[in-house]
Amino acid sequence: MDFYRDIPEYVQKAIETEGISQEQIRAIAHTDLDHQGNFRAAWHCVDDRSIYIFAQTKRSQGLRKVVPFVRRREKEQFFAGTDERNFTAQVELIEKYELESLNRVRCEYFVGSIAIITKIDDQERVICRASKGRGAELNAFCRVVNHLIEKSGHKPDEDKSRREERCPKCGRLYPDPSRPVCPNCIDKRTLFKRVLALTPKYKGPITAMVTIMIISSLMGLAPPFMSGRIIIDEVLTSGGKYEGMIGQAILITVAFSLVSLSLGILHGRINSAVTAEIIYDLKKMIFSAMQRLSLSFYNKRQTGSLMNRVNSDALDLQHFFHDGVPYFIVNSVQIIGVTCLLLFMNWRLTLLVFVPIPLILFITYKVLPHLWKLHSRRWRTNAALNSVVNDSLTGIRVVKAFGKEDQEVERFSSHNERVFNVQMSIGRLNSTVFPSMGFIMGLGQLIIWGVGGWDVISGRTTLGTLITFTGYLGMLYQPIQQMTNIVDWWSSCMNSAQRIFEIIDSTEHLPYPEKPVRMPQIKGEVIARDVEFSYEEGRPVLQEINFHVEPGEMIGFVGPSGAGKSTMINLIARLYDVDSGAITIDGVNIKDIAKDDLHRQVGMVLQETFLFRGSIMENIAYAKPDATSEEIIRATKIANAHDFIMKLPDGYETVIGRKGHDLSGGERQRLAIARAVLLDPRILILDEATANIDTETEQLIQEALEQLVEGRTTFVIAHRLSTLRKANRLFVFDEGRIVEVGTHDELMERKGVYEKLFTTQRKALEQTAVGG
Amino acid sequence: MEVEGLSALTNINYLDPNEAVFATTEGGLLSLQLGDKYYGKVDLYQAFPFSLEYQYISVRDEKGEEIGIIRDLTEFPPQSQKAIRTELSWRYYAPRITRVLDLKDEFGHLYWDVETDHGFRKFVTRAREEGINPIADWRLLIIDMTGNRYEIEDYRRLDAKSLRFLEPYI
Ligand SMILES: Nc1ncnc2c1ncn2[C@@H]1O[C@H](COP(=O)(O)OP(=O)(O)O)[C@@H](O)[C@H]1O
Ligand SMILES: [Mg+2]
Repeated sequence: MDFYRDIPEYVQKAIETEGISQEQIRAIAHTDLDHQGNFRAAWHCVDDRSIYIFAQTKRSQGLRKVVPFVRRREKEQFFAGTDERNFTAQVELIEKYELESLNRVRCEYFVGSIAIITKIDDQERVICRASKGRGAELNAFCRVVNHLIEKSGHKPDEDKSRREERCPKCGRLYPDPSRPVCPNCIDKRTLFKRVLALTPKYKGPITAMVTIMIISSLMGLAPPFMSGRIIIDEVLTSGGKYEGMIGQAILITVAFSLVSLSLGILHGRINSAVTAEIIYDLKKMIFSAMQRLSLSFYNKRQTGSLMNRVNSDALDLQHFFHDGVPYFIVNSVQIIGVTCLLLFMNWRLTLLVFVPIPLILFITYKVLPHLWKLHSRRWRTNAALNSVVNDSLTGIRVVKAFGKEDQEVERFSSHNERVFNVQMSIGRLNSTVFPSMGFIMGLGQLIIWGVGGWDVISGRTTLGTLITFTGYLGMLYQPIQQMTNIVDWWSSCMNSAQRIFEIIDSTEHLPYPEKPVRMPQIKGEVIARDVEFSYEEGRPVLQEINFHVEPGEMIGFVGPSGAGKSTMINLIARLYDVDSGAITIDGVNIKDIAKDDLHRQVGMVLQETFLFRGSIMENIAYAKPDATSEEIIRATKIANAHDFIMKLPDGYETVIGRKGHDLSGGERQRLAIARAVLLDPRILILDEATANIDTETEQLIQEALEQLVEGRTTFVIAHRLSTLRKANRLFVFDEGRIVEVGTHDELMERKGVYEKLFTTQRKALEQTAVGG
Repeated sequence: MEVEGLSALTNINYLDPNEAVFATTEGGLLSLQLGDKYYGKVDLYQAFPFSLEYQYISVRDEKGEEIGIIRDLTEFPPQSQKAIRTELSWRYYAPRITRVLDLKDEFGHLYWDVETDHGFRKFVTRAREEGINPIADWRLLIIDMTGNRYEIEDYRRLDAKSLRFLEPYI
């Protein structure tokens, strides 16, 4: 393992000076707080005997400023987020702990910081503190240290948690530490090419489109030239080349406009079609990528906001292709074309035309962003105002009940005032910026009229040229102003593209087995060995889980809610991968079993039943689309759903969710059971599958299930403990561990957790029975 | 004793400032001697972390069971107070920003470069609401992308340059 991959050289040296060679190192973690809470980087290095802590040396005098060249030189040397003004790029050994003297180390998470704590001589002791971003790394470090201390158990997997935190190119911190992407340095051109590469089949239309755009914007250059140089100088002037040919001149101008118009229409049509198709392809790619991602990917993000983001990113790209790219091409052709024409006609005047441009650029760069910010603030304050209105109207009963109308009016007023203030600022800025902008452009106009007019009088240039010049001014200033926008637009689009590709490229799916083991017929022996699992770093949900389930056994999982029962079955069905330890089926690690074989033979019925839009039949056959009608009916009969389905007007073809055909919780549940029955899995998992069903129906399903579980391994989680009478063994979960194992009778005799649960439940039942 | 009777009634078990003795252990943790019972490590939880930092602090043992509540820290003797404050400063670690050296709004994130009472630091927050949370009239809680917290106690008291950076966001 390469522990040095992102450790500064001076730290490596210090470690070697201590006489520890790279081969002896078992793990390194870095932290960023000292025992006083100051930002001081430290490296914790563990070999087989001790933990060594190297911390940055304090500067004898803090720097007032980091001199740029020092900064550049030392940039790579400093660990992101450390205080480079008070500490040097040097470390010293400050503490050393012998592993022998330590008990287990553990990471504790507080609201604002993290600490690694251990016990020395029966006294709890903080080994180090760090800020919140370091959790993953410290946890991995603790795992290694514990392994070394206890000298047993499984060797922890390689620590992949330590990552660069700062963009090596520009030194910016990565905004999202778990995602080493610097929005400043993402290679926008490559990204753009990649977006384009999505569309090889549209090469033809795109080339056609670009050509059309260039032609039509070149043609757009004609009118001022026609009206100035041609009509005034050559047609209306006596002695001109085309003197008196006014009709022809008009005709040509009209012809130009017509051609330009038809090209525009053609371009618009191709553009819409091509853009729509590109986005269609892109969305399809995103969706299939998202299907592949693991559940933990979704756990970390809110599904709703993920969907929104993907949609808005795709929309961004669509706008960019549909409007941004043409805009860019047209503007650049215009700028270049106009400049060339002007230079060709009169270079002296042309130079004058450029005089106001710096001012225009200054305003667009300096002032307009302020305006955009104000606009977005107006949007936000408005949204807040709306939500206040919404709140107090939806909650009007509460407001009235407590007689708080005045308080609501006050709340509204304060938000209203904020909106008013922003609106005022926008008004003020608007009424300053745009007239000034107009004035500056007018200034250009005036300069041209003044100098050009002088030239015309002195005969150095023609009146037509002057008219043409003034006509082109707007065609130059406008695009220049707009091009400043396009840079931002481009950046934000490439950001969207980046996020989209990140999903497409994401490797956050459970790793595929290198050599998948085909298991056409699973027997159903399930073994868990030292399983540990957590959804979030630092909050273990399952610990030290060990069990051995024989083929055909029926196992009940019981325990208080939140004990980790559902999590355990998620692991058995490999919806998540264990953090350490292993789960095997028929002796094969489930990580190595071919995905189809696993999912075809492990069936789950969950408490919450999700039904897709579609008919009942389609929903039941979801996991086995080629099932025959007879198989489907047999499955629903076992699940006790046949009768209620037959009573629906459209029978098995009733579309769920369509008005009037919403199903009750119990009915949905039975469809889910039918779904699992149809799959005929070798390992069946029922997670509170009968929780939403009334007792009578449960009895029926219970009998059906009893037939069903015959001959296959079954895991049942049930809230009602009486449901588990038939189980061969019960595993009692408590706080992420299996605390008791045995049959109902054995466990009752033990008078432990299970016995307590059972008696409380029976008492509660009796009470409700008496009370009801 | 009267107080105790009352708290038994309302079920809030306030710790008696004279009976409960807090200390910082050699290992850097908080210990509590309550009568003849000794806790080698207790955890603190603030009920109102923003408005009443030093009142209504729940003291819990290692299993998370509440031992009692500190009604008002200032009622405790100085040594206990000091130990509790130290522990709180770790649990609710949030350096106070004294100067904003740079604040850039780029790509939908804010890039900060600040001086705090614990030294200089650079970090990134989300732009807008998620990054900068007003928790009282002039007080801001800034939460970076990894969940670290920083506090600006009263932004009116910052120097002009810092304020200029912050201005668009408050
Ligand atoms: N998707 C998830 N993300 C984070 N934590 C979770 C998730 N699902 C469950 N947990 C947590 O894991 C623990 C065990 O949950 P679970 O296995 O559902 O318990 P049980 O099924 O025994 O009621 C709980 O503390 C719960 O809050
Ligand atoms: Mg559950």
